[in-house]
Amino acid sequence: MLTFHYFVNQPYLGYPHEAAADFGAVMLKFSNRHFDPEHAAKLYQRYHREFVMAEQVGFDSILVNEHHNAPAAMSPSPNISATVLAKITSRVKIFIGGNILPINGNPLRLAEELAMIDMISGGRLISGFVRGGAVESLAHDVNTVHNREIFDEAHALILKIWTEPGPFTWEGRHFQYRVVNPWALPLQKPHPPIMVPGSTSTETVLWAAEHGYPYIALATRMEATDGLFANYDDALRKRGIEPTPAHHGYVIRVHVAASDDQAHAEARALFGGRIAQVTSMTDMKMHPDAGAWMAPPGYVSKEAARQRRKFMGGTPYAFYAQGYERALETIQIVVGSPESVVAKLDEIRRRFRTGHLGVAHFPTEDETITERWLEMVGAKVFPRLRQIAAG
Amino acid sequence: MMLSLGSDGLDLQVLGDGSPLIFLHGEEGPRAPAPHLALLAANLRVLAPSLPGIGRSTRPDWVETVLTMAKYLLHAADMLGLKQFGLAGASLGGWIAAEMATMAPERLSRLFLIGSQGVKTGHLGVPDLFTTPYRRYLELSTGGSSSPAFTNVFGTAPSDHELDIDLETLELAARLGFKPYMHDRALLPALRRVTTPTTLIWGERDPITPIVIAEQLKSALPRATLSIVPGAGHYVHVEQPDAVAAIITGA
Repeated sequence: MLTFHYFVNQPYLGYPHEAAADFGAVMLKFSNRHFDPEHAAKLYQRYHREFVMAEQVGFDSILVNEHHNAPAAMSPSPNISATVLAKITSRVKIFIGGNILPINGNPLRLAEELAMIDMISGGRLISGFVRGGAVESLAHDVNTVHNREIFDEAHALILKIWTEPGPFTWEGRHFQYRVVNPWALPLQKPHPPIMVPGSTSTETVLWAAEHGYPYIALATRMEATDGLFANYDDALRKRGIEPTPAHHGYVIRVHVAASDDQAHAEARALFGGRIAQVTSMTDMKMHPDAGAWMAPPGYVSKEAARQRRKFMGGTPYAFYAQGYERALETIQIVVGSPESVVAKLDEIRRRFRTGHLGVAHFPTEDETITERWLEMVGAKVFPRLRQIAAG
Repeated sequence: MMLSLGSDGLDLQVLGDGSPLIFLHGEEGPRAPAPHLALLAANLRVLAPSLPGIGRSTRPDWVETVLTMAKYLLHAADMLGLKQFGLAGASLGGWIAAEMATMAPERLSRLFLIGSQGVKTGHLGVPDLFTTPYRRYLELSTGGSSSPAFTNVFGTAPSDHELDIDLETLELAARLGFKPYMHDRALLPALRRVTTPTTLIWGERDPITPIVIAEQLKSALPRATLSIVPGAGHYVHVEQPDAVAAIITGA
């Protein structure tokens, strides 16, 4: 079984890009005086039209996420995006990938909201839980030292709410509730599927495996992804569970057009376009403080920080800065005719034994490009890949 | 020496002879070389712990605020058999020392607060330790006054071990001072009961805890004097160890 997830950040596109370049970062402190709600209001309508279209062309799920203080995503509350999806779509799964538990602040309220989304959508919620990039903790001023502790505790509480009848009392380290007894519970039993999107943090990979949750690698580099799934599978087997493709997911940017030549010409323009570069939080980081925003104290374990120092010299990964040819060569993007794209995605599917393919496009102001892309992947790529995967 | 405290251990440098002085480092970390400690040891018995969670000092999991840190370090003073002692602290270490003073003023013969945190500064537009790269923060802390002594400690490329210590130091600082940022609104009112003779040692151009903070502490403390070190920034004990040692030993 191969499922296709439509991954879209809902980027905000209408700000002066030279202002971002001058500031040197598109996160945390890049001033929201460049944010125009009129422009954003129109963009929401556009993205919602594209959600409906994604369902029509054959996606199995639509993946929405959470970011803050950044034009990369106009979805600071993914539950609101999910609620919209619950009402404007009827078939696709609604994959929140995910709520950032450490900055949410109130896991009881979150459990209630997710239960509402599951009921309103007729049981279509996939509930992702993430720690969030470090910068998200700074955006909501949550002590980065406590990130993992809060994540663990909030997750444990939400699970308990979903699986044990109330009322009960919760006296944890970060959360205390005299009475836990929400009259809002998920439709899906025992609870909505939980998946864990991530970008290689070993601790999170192991955490997902320990709970038997599928791990969805977010456009991670090929060799790193081999390694993380090997770790994941080992940990899962230690629990006595044999990994299946349903446990593995991979998200990748794809561009497809009638011919290879046309696809490359279009993709090169999209990839090299200013809009792509300046909406990428990991690319725009020339601001002298940006390094600290992405790796504040205590956010990762000491061991992970040492590894990062050793292997990456402390520099986070920049997607667009590597250049189009290199991105192609290292399979960070898949571009071509439907036949070429099917072959490449199938190779990736086999390599990672993945049952979930997250498919993303490039941000563009021209919505006709996005629409053409949606039609093309739906009509020419998914049916053939499904056929191949079914053997 | 390693001091055992329950199942935890506190790593202390113990130098010199004379009346005891506990010296608490701050977010600049327990750095070597530490010329200020050596200078103080000429006249005093200096006990300088690495704060819990840094280096070989372990952190009990209940020590997660400045107040609980102060209680833990008072217990350490008990276990060291110190009935009366001098107490000095720099920056975050100053905040911890000030809270210790509010808890046990009768134990302290003298109190020295060097560019102490603990009072609200965020609204003054000071550099934020947690959103500024550490090296850049240390550079900014001098207010442009970098002395050879400071460069000797912070200016050289850190070894892997030193980078580990930096990580641990910053993690502890975040644990204690991330939010609210580096202060306790109850500190100034609580200091009114600290009748210990106190010297506030402040850099003339401290950009991290500007002089106005020293003045607020001076008003709150019944027996405080303010000693301003000309040309110094925030980490006065690192920038001008001779001046700091002279003020402390002369007090």
